[in-house]
Amino acid sequence: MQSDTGGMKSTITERPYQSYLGISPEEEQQMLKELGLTSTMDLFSDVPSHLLLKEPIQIPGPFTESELDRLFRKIAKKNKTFEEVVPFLGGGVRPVYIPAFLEELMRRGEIYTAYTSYQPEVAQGMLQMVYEYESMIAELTGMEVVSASLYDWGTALGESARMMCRITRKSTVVVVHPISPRRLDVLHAYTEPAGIKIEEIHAQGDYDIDAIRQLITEYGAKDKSDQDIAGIYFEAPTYHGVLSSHVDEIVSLAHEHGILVTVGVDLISLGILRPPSEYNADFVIGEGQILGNAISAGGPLLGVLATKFNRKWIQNFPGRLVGKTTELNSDNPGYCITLSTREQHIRRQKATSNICTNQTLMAVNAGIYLAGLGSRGIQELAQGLMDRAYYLANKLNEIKGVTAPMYSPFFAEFVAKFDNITHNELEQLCIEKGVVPGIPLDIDDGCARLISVSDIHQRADLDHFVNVIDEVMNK
Amino acid sequence: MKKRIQAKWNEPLITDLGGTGRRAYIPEKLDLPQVDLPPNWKRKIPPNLPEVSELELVRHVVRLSQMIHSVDIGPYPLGSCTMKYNPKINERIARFDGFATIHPESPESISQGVIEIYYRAQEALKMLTGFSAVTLQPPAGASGEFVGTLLMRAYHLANGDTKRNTILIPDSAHGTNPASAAMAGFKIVELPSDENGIVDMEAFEAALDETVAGLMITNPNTLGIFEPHIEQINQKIHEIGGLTYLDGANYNGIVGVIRPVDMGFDIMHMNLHKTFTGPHGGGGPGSGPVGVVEKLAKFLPIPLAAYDSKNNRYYWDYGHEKTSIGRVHAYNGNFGIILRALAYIYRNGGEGLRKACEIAVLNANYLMKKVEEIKGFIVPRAKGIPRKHEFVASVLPLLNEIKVSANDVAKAMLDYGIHAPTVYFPLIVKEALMIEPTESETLQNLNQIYEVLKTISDHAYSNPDLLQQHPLTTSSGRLDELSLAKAPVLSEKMKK
Repeated sequence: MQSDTGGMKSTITERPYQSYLGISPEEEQQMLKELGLTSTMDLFSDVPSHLLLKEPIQIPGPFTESELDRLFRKIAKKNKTFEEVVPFLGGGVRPVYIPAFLEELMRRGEIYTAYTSYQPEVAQGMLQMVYEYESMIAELTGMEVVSASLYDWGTALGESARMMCRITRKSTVVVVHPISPRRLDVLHAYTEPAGIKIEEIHAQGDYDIDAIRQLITEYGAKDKSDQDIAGIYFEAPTYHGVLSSHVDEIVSLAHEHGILVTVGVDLISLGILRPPSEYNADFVIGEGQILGNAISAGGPLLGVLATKFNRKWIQNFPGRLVGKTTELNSDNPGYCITLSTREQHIRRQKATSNICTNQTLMAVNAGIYLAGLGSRGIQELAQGLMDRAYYLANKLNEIKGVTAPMYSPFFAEFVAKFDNITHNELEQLCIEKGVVPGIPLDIDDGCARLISVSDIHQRADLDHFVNVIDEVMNK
Repeated sequence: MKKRIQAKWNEPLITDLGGTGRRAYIPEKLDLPQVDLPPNWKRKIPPNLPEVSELELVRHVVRLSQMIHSVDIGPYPLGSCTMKYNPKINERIARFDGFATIHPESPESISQGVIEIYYRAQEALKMLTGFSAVTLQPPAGASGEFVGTLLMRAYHLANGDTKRNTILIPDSAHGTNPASAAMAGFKIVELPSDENGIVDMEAFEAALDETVAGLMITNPNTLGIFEPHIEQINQKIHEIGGLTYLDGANYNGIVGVIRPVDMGFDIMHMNLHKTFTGPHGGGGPGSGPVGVVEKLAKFLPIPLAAYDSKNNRYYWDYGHEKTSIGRVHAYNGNFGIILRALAYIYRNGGEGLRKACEIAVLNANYLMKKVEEIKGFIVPRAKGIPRKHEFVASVLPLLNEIKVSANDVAKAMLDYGIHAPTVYFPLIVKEALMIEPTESETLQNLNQIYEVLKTISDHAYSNPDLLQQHPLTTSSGRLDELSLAKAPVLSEKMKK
């Protein structure tokens, strides 16, 4: 057992945790007296006595607050932050600059210590912020209905696949690669027990449009009763960064045969890219962490799911929805959770999802961030990411032994290929020199990596990365 | 009892605020060549987001924040949600740069501290629960349930046991239990409770057959009652080859005092946002780690955090990838909540957690005894049996005598600055008020909750019609939820 506490032992002997308890030892005695008991453990008299532990469990602690502070600082220091090693990591999440006002606002206990707005009359502030978030995501995606939050992009994909199958009463979902292998894993975990078949169309860089055409043509020729595709999923940009010219064609091919379409997007890119409504996607999913939420080693994240309003679809929609109404006795606007009859606390095993606790705080954070950016800010941010990515790719491409990008056009991420070097060598040498050279990709046989830029990267960071790669590749 | 008055700002929607060209967050523009998008990808109409100044936005959010009841504002006895104090040191720790800014795909050599936190949290939860292995990946309790039922599925399939397609769940269970089991492909068999609010043993035994994959049960149950036959129940499930799952939503009622594994459970999820003070965030994030006995460890989601003591190195262990149920989150779950929970666990130690549990149970029983005395209130089932961290009162007499419902009582409480209990749950109690004060509330607050309920009862008997009017001093009155459900307005885009 790793009960090491960083070489530190508490110096305090008497109940350092008392500050978390509302009842003092004296009051405890007083309450016991009122209840006619001698010990609080008398309240466990109904439990078979052999189940009751005689001694406290020997985990580390208790610690005073300052001891705790020091211990966790020490552990945190074992991670290399941006000041020491600059990451060029994305793949769905990415580090973002968090404006100070946003961080301050999110520290308000009024916001983060509330729970689900079961009593809307005392939760109007929370509900309004969620509604504002929903409204801004609707604006960004061109959709109308936005989930109050799912866990992350991966689970949004899992939920969306199940929903498409419920709506169409069919049980195959086509996955158009390249998509994130992590999200694909989650999709499998979510769909496999429901008997949903995942049919993958493999590709690198851009979608394999020929394979898609062929699949759909063959599908169209099938007897209606043998047609079992509920939906199709692709990412735009693709996991390899590409802004494909085929999205309109894929959507119309799918719709010709009653196949629903879910698209996974980079939500910031929509500041300058066509919203999915324009190419008629039915469901839009993505990762809301990039909307001003701390990356926090991969969680908490924010699963985004949006669609057009359609009664039948909404009946099958997973998770919470917040809507706008009025007070019963006035015209004052008010907000509340609505259409709950889809949810687990009412429908139990017939619910559209088991989700209860979700990622509301991240949605609130995302809403404030989007409002802070405004129309201009989100365009500038998106353009700024793209400019950084192209600048970086072009500079890397000048280095001998580097191909960047491998595929284009792209947005904020691109694939770079490094000749005559292994992933491990490249990674290690780069880290020594202060950068993380993207995420390793399992394509071709060489060392191809997904390089991602973020708004935390200044020009000096980009140039530094280029210099490091130059040194590593031409040592 | 004095009423409390919640802020009421009549704050417009952010989308109706602002002007043209005002700025709050201005992203940094670098001196780089501007790239042209491919024409077919260009957005023609820019997204119509609000344009507000930084102060305008700050005021908007601060005003809205004043219109939210939260743990930091006042008592929040929302049953089964464990709305205990969220220590501020946890918030500080979660925001250390070394935690908050790390990418989940950072190479292991530069994210040792992250993996160490995971490893320490796994170890601490293993010690507390007695299980052999713990995954921290599920981002919420329901996700933990989904993982738990997927584990049952994987276990039986690995044994070539394909006919086990049902899961037994008591009728007092949280709705997530049947929803999660259904998502994992199971049929649900509901077990009735007996007159004492515990599993009806006769019905339970009748439900046992070779199709049973396992049992999901909450203990202490949603009435706050410790299931007295729990060991027998688990043993019977094992005898027919099934697995037993503990829903840890009510873990605060036994944490540090009873180890779940000793009751005979094979699987359990914990709610770090309940028992271990992850803030509830207005609805989330949570964290729902799952602990399992040895024989199920190989099915857990990938990866697990591991420690190589020889080289003093932490690493992600994918060793069980072939047998694993896969992933239920793109990364490793809600690290920020796991971090806060670990800070809370270490701050308390085994001794502090045990004390917290004891005080939570004391507070619940103290308040229950007082509430029982109020006219029109009863605490049905299992008379004389102490509850654990929560109890369920019923206002059925109020309804029968003067047509005042649990909902009316709940709404009236809001006017006194106290959040309503969980209402109409569990389903087996009519006009239920499920009350969980937690160990954080002071004696004065417990007495205040009692006084408020008593005042409401007095008012109800003297003028029952007035009860329908509550709440009056909150930021909004009762809402027209029906019209919204009929003609939903779910975003400003849908506004007619």
